[in-house]
Amino acid sequence: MEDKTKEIEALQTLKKELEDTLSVVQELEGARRFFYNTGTICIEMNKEEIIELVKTEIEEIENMIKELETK
Amino acid sequence: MAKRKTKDTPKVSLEELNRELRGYIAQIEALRTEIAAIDTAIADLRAVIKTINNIKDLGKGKNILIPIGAIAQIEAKIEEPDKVVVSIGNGISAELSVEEALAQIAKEIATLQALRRALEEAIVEAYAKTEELLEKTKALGAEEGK
Repeated sequence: MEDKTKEIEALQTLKKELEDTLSVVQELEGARRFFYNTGTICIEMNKEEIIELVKTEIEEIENMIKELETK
Repeated sequence: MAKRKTKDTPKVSLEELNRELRGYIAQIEALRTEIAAIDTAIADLRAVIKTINNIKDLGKGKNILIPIGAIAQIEAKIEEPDKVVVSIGNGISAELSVEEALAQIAKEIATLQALRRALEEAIVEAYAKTEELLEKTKALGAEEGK
């Protein structure tokens, strides 16, 4: 039970970080080119692509949280 | 029996106070370590501001050395001194104009400074608590010695 709570808390922290990053991306009006670090290489993306990517990651985390909560 | 109990009570309290005191001292040490890490991060960001301005002043076509890890550097030519790629978290970087990059870095520094102030306040509170506990410990010690 304690492990599950900790896991949910960690996911919520990650979700908050991603939401913060998303708002920074949306606020940067002048930026056209973005780069996503995959761990080995950086992929060039435009603003729409990067917003989509972050939103997808947030959704995935939300699903993981829901899954853990219903377990 | 009752007499023994009253004599034991302050001893237990003294132990509790000492434990609490050690806890606050450890907390102060941890906060100091965190503040030192924040200071390093702020110094790094200030160094970046200096570098961005230097590169802008150098202009296009100048040769510079770029660190590629550990002790190695490679020579490179400045192609676009007006653009800076800045990390904005979660593995995402954005290409910004020099002005935007400097504003982003200034924002980052302000956030860290606010965090530093909060940690300093926490240290002051922990110090006050430590002083209070020391006074209590002294008083209890004196009482026990009677």
